[in-house]
Amino acid sequence: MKRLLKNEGFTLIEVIMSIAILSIVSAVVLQLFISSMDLNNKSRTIDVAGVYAANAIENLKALTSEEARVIKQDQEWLYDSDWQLINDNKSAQFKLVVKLRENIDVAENFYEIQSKMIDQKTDEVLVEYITGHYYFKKE
Amino acid sequence: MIRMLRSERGSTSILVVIFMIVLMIFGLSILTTSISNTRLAEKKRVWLSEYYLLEGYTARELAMLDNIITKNKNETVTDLENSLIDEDARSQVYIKKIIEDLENQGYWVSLLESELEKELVVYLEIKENDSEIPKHLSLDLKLIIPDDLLSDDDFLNNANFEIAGHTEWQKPFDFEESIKFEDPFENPFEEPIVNE
Repeated sequence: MKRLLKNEGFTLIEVIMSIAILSIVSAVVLQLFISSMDLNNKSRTIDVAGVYAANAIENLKALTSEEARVIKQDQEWLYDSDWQLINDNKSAQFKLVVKLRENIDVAENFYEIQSKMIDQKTDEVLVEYITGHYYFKKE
Repeated sequence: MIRMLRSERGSTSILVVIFMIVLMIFGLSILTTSISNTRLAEKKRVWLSEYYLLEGYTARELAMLDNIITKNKNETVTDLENSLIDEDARSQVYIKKIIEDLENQGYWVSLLESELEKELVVYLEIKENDSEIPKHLSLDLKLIIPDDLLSDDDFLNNANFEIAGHTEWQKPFDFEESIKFEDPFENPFEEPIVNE
């Protein structure tokens, strides 16, 4: 009780030292949090990019051979940083490029499919899936 | 010494250090979780990429099998039209010819017959020959052939192809003979075989 009633507080040097140490440590700890956030964002980007790329492949596989034959050009979809589909190439961060090529050397109606998600800001290929599909008996 | 311990000078610094350690532990655990997240995402990407490659190879094999069977069908139809084989035996002749043709192309084929349907199982093995496929992969393709195959005009469309399943396995690991393992299936009541 006597101690509590004492008027002695912290000295100025104590307070300054504490603030200094706390700031240095906070800077390090905050850096850890920022790195975690970056890593989490990266994982999320890879995951979402993978889902969109796989989805594009599955959509193509669901076509009939007649529908697949009509697709001559590479397909492109643009997404902003929140993965919303947009049309403006300048503000798009991600680009999904899907290629469909018939490989007659293997067989008629056998198509090679490539689906690639590109980060336009860094030109990094986030995911790239290559597969083949045979449009059998779907007419 | 006791006086030093009783003195409260510098207690703020100790509090700060404890607070700092707690924050550090918290930050490090979050960082570890994030690194695991990234590794999982990376693994998923690699797995899906390998899966699609495998599916592509399967589709390629399916296309080639279909080519062989279609070619075979046309030849068989012409042969059967000019022969006196009765309708019931047509299916047998057709299947026999398919099996011969597939075996000539290097496929492992086996015919499973049940009361309801005949299944032609084609075993394929994709071996590692480039860096794109790091594992040994084996594919089992099942071709279901209805019994009344040749009595239908459009019989090829009645023959269903489906991928029954595929298995993949890792490269066998190097076995060290110096390590002795217990045999979990050893019968304790059986008398051990003594080598003379």
